Amino acid sequence: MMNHDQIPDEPPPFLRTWPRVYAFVLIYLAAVIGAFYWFTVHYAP
Amino acid sequence: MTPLDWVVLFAWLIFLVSYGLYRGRGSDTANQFLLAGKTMPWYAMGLSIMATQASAITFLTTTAQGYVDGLRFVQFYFGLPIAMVILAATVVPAFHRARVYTAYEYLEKRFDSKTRSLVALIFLLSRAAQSGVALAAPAIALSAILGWPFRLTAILMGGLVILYTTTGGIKAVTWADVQQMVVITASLLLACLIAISLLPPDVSFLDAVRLAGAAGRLKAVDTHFDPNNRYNIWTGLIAATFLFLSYFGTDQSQVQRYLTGRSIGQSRLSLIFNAVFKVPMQFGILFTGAMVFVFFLFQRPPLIFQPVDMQRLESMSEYPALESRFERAFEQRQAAARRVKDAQEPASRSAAIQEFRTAQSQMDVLHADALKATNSSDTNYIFLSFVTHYLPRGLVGLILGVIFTAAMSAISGEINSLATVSVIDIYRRHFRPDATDRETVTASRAATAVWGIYAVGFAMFVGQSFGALIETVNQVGSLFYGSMLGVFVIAFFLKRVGATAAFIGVIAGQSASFAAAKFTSIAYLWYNVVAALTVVIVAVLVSYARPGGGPPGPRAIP
Repeated sequence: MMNHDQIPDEPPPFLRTWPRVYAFVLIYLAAVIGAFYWFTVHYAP
Repeated sequence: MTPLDWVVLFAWLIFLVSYGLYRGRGSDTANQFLLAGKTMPWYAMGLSIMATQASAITFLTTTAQGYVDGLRFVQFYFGLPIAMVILAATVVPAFHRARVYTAYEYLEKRFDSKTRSLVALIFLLSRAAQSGVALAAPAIALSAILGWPFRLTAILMGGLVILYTTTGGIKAVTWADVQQMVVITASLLLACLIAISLLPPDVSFLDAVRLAGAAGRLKAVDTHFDPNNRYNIWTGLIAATFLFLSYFGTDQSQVQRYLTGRSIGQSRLSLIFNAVFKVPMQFGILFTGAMVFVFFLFQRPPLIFQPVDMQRLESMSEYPALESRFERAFEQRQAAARRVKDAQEPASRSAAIQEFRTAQSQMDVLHADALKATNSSDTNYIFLSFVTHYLPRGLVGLILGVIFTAAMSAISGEINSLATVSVIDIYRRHFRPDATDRETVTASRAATAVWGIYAVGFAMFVGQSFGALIETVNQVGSLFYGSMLGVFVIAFFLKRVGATAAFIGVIAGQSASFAAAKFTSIAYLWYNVVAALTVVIVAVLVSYARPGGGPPGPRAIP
């Protein structure tokens, strides 16, 4: 079996570290839900 | 369907299959056939994951949900980005470092062979039924629209899938999916734009959005908590997160996609890609359905969207009365829609909306009466009916071709993963541990063909004899995910829990899932939560009651 160190990993192409990318995704999700909520309220019958 | 549409339809089918075969060439080792030699870039894996999940029936039912029920289904996907972040941070590096072909192989490294075999069997049982349904449901819809016999449609779809999946393995599947996803996205966007452009000249895009809102089709977020309602923000954020963790973290049809990545980072990016684009894409599909609804406010819809059942209805004695009442209700609804659009004052708008709802209810009742008279269901035909009657020549053929290949894409992912688990976790583990690479590839091709033929056979059985079984099979499939998730949670995070405790936990979790389905009325998404928590709790209790809960396995992962 191959040594674990031989499995290539790489930093993300943006935001430099993976934890920052994960934080970005969660903030993005919150923003999307917020936008959908505004949409729901704004166009409610 | 004009001759141009038929040409486009067949050209698209031939292109996609040929492209899959071309990109799948050289898949003559187990590593190439099952994992594409671990060479895939993130965007190919990301689009393939999306395409496998977006089966044709999702394509048809999601637009129909937008039409009938509005945007609230989008909440189901709120858990997806959360699940993707958790998986990218934990599961992706673990699977890559364990150098496994299947997710279940990891369980033997962590626990023992019986736990691996049990979970592999759960996967095979749940996926086997769903592969037939993934073929049957779109084959039924397309055969009605194209006027082809159902059996011929199912055999054509299944035959093409078997051809490129058996020949090119995961590489053919993935690259075919990439083309597929690009064309799906473009066609849906075009369909939405055309629905808007076909509105009467006095109805602008903003008017259309306001009308969809007035009809209750733009309610995207429901903050009221109700465990019996599958579409609210809490179900989406909590229960659906469990579902997506199970689906993307333990289902081989998804795991195999990101195991083909050339590095951990590429595999992570493929999941992040889905985390960012999946929710807006679902919103777009539902919004297209809502715009088709607005289009049919000004263009009279048929009493039944399913063309064969509509013809049957026309020959019935009750048809003339139903038709004239439907026509009247449509005219009232159209007039009310115009009043809603033109109303300036809140009071007059409110009165117009009330009038609109009354007319809509009348149309819904008449539609339900027509469906009852013909004993049919037409939800999957709403979008198809719009496409075939109102889209320009050529585009009709392309969209029908895309729906055709969306089904093929989902089935190719299913049979490819079923074959991989059959060969790696069953055949090579229990029957031929010393199988050569060449024998493994031959067995994988044979297993792919067998699962493909099985899917076609099961589709014919489901489609011809038990149409209502489709819904049941889909729900039964969701019963298995929670226990699979539970055992992987133990494998990754509870290092002190041993093999026997995990095995007992899986059996307890599966029982809890069945009990929740049988004895409670909670929405099926919560079965995943119940089963996953039961697996973890029971396994922990057993490991405390019986220290070690059995050995962690001879090849425990450090």
